[in-house]
Amino acid sequence: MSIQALDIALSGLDASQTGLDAVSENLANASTPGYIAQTADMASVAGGPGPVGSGAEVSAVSLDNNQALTALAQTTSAQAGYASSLAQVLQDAQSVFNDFPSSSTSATSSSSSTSASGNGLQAQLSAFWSNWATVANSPGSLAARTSLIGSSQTLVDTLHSMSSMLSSSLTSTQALLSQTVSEVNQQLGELASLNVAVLQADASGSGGANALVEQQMALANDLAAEIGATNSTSSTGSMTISAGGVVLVSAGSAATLGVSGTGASTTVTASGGPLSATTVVPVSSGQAAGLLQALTSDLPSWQAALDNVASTLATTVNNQLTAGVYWSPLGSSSATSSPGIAMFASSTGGAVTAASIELNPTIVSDPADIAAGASASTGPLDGSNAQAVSDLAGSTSGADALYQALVGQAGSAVQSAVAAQSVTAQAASSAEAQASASEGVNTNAQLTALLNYQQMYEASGKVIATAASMFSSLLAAVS
Amino acid sequence: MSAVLPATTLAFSGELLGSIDAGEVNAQQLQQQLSTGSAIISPSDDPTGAVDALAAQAASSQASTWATNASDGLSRLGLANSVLNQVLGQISELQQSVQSVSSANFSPAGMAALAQQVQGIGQSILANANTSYEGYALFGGTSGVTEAYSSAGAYLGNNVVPTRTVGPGTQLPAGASGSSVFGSGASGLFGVINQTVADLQAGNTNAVLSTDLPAINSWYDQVQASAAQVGAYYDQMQAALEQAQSTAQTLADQASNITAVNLPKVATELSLQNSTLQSALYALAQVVPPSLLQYLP
Repeated sequence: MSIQALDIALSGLDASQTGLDAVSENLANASTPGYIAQTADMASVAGGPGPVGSGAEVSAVSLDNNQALTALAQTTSAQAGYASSLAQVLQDAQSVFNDFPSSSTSATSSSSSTSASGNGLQAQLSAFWSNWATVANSPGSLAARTSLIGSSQTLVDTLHSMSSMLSSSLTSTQALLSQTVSEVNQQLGELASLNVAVLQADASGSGGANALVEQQMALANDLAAEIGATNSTSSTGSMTISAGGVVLVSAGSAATLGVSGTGASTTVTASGGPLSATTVVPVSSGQAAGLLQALTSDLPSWQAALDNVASTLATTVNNQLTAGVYWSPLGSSSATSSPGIAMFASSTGGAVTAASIELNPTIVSDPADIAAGASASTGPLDGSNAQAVSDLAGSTSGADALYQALVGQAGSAVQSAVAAQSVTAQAASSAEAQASASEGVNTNAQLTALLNYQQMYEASGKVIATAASMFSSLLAAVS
Repeated sequence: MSAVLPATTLAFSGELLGSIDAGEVNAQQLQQQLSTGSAIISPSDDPTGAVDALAAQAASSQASTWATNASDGLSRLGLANSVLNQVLGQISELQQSVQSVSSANFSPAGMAALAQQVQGIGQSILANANTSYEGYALFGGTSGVTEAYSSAGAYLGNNVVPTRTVGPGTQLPAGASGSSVFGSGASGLFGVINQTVADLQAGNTNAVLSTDLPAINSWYDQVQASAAQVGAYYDQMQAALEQAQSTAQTLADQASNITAVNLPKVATELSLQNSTLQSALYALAQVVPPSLLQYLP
């Protein structure tokens, strides 16, 4: 027997204390999001005079991170970020199609008869066509013509407000994208400084390196959800971040992201840091990608389809009107006929769009100028041209049909975005749960470890007491 | 949640929270459907149904327009019909007066009185032929004149019969032009009446009986034929009105069937959703899972 037993027991005390430290750190962080549990890696120490060895030590306190699960959680959260931002933007934007009763207008509870409900464009179009028939029935009536002008004005106003709602959706989405990009920039900067701090901590051997790695991981998770960034960690602990193949953070230098262009030509660019020149970042997942998709594809295509509705309305009505004649002054026996004039024009002078469509001021100031008649020979009470305009309501390539197609297109886009949102959110939460189950703190496991370390500590203490008592009895025998 | 991996408190509560959120969104949608009575609140709720409902609403509105057209035509035709029947009575009155020339020996004074009577009847018929509808002559075609005939019996309107569109590509006549009913000029009804008056005033009994009376008789038949024609138009228009109305109603029902909420179904789903939500909430309240901690001294 030698003094070795005391040394070995002491190393057991030390090791179990470090183990207890790890357990207590874990339990304290059981509810910290993104916290990765630590494990004290026990190892036996070789050496010493005999074959026994010289006790136990904690070779390292390692993080229970699971690369595969973390990567999966990041990928799915990037997809969920894409789907949820796209779905949110589109859901907001589709409120422009208010052809259906909204929650704010309390409709009658049971559906007794129909409701050509809402103040949507379809209802305005129907009222417009119906007013044309009234003019056709009473071409000599100023009241019929005036109410047609009124419903035309409402129709034009509705197109204007729909167009401006879509524009403001575009503007606010662009603002949201800029905000996301500036958050990302801040995180890229933090990550670069963490990379430096990790290297310093490792070099100096000072404590807290694990906490720094956890912060790196948390930032990487955020970046994945925001711009679909992927990461890799070098053996030195420095984390590299890239998105769409463009390296954004390498060691201590971080690139700066920016938004360039507007509307359909919006892109996310990166410059500085590891990049030698300004580069377009092909963001394909993450919240920013969802916003980009809405900005560059969905919203512009809705706007274009709405413009097409307006220009088709203007073209078909104007063509029919210019084929007819109007009689002026209205109701006068000396009225003379003139070739019909257009009803819709563009306020910009260019192509008619939903934003630029306006009524011909000549027709507004004198409703007699509405060409209700087919020809000069049929007389002022002929309303057949007005009826022909009214019949445009049923045209399969007319404004109504185009608008209905637009509602269907937008509805499908929003529906699939919402479906993708719920599917990807589920996948992301399940991947996150797996990662957190694997890396997070399992209270029972920690308590079991606590018991182990406690017993180990007590046992080592017992060895020291026993050795001490053996020495003293030996000394008593000798003296 | 993967059964293989041990549960951590965070993962457990995160999953529960997710399912509570999903449940609340679902319940909110159901409540919105109940409160609006519409299963489609925004196009994304059912894109196909939304398009169908819009198309049905538009078609229903167009059918309503046709019904309005038909009912406008009906009121024109109804007025024309009653005017023509009145005119028929007046012409037969005219026939009787003119016929009386043959039965008795008339003094020149009597002839003059008869001529005056015939002229009076003729003016009543002219007044009927000049009936105005919405400020314009009913029998003036589409010319926009306020009187269809001049006092001399010349037709002032045109020969275009106004029509009403009552269906896809279906136009029905909504009246009759004056010239086809009463003729125009010397050969027209008013020309014949004026001639009769002139012959009576001249005491030309022979001409009255041999030329004027047969001409009046023939105009009676023509006006009768026109009245029958207008009556037939009226029936057609009536049928078209009923058809357009029923089409409009059917399409409106169709639109509301697409958007209407199945109340019992939604109410059941909502109560089911509420109980699911409550159990999820209860589970969340119990989320501190049984742990070893409870059994340690």
